[in-house]
Amino acid sequence: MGNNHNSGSSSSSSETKKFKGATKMTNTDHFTPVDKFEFMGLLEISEQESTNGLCFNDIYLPEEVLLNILSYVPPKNLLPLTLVCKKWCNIIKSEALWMEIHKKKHPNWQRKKLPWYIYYCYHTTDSFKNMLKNGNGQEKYKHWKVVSNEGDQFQIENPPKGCDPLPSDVPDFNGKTSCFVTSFYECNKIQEISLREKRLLRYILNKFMPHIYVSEWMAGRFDCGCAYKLGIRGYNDQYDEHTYEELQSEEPTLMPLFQMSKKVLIDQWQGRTWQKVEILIEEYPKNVAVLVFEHAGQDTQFWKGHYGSKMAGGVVRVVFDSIEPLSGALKETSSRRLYQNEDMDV
Amino acid sequence: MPNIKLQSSDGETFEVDVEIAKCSVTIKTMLEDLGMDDEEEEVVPLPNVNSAILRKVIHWATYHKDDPPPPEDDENKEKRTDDISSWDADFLKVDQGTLFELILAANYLDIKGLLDVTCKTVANMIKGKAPEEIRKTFNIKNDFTASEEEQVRKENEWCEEK
Repeated sequence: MGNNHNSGSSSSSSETKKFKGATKMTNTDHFTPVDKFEFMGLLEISEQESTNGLCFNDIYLPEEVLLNILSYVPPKNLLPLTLVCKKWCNIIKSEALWMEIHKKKHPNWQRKKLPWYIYYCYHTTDSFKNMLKNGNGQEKYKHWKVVSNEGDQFQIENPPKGCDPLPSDVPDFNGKTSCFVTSFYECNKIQEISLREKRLLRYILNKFMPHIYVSEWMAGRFDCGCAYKLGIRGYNDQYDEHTYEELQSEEPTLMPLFQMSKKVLIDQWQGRTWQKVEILIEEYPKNVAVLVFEHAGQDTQFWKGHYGSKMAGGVVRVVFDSIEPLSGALKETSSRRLYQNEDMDV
Repeated sequence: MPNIKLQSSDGETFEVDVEIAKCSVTIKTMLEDLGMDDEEEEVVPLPNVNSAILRKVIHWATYHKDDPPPPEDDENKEKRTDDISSWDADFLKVDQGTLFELILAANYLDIKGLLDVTCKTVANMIKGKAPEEIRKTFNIKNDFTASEEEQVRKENEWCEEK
């Protein structure tokens, strides 16, 4: 595959990028940085006040009944209720409540003890869903940055030409039938996924290192050989201060925290069927703030037109199920919480 | 169908079809463990439930006696929390005290369907309310110190995505 990363982004667009990064930073400044943040743990409740929050106009409900009631409140509405009183706060920030909520939504789920905020993140944000946008070119090139666009350039085909249609039963396509197709020199584009505003997710990445899963479907034409590359890189929060050229140069100004790629070569007459290319990142350093998805392709016979590899249905996902259940290895606050919640977790 | 007698905390006796009474797991286990269904004139004492509440519980159980068992768990179907049937909604148009006593009774008698629907009703009462409103509605004391409250508020803000 060609390694000539031609500069697709002009200097003016990199200036906009720098500017954007700067504004974002001032917006998030008043929050404790992710690597300094710690959850506070359970609040102390004195003996005399131990029934406050469980007495409803003098009718006392056992703690597990209040937990059951709260498990029916929509997850997004729960955090404000921590300010009712200390008892409610401790119940709402307990893994017992969130395991109950999770169990109600996924009845076949095997109970797993995780801190409350991981379930909270799962149920109130898109952090554990596919973070790649416009994977089938349904919105043209929106969200993508074309890095190199050689030969007859990228094109969007709907439906794909010279190969099978996209499999219809695959959720990665969101019901879309279109794909990107490459040409006779390298066509390469990236999508930057910023986790900057996702504090909780970054905290979870730092503490629990859930797997990061990347995949995409690719195919060739029935009559032409082709090459395809799928790549993922993770950067810290200084990513926005560098241009793509600086990051890709011989001596990059910022090294990725991790990177992995997979290449597929398809011989002539062997293309036409769609196959899924997958990458699983199981270990990575702390402070991941930006993920860069990259895909590239070209044909191997230099035919004019769009005979290169086709791609669609890209996925970048933090794997919720890969998070290990709590053990004794956790920090003080969490283990104290774990211990105190044993009684509630019937 | 044979009947059994249930006795409330204030001494009133209710004659109920055994099958209806058995929607309470507590009563069902009691009958099975003690072999009480052999005796004709046996009375099941329910010291935690008064007659007004027991009457309501029996009313609810009688209406729901032919309900199909809960559907098989389906991983793909997200369960809703606001799906209260109109009959149940009408049934639960009661004062707050009665509602909480019903919750306690359903919890003690282990009647899952009744416990779920009563808990959902309370969840719907609180879900849109401000903390201050909730404290007022249920007579709960604000027991936070100023600094604790500030700490909780900050942690919440940190967790929330805009």
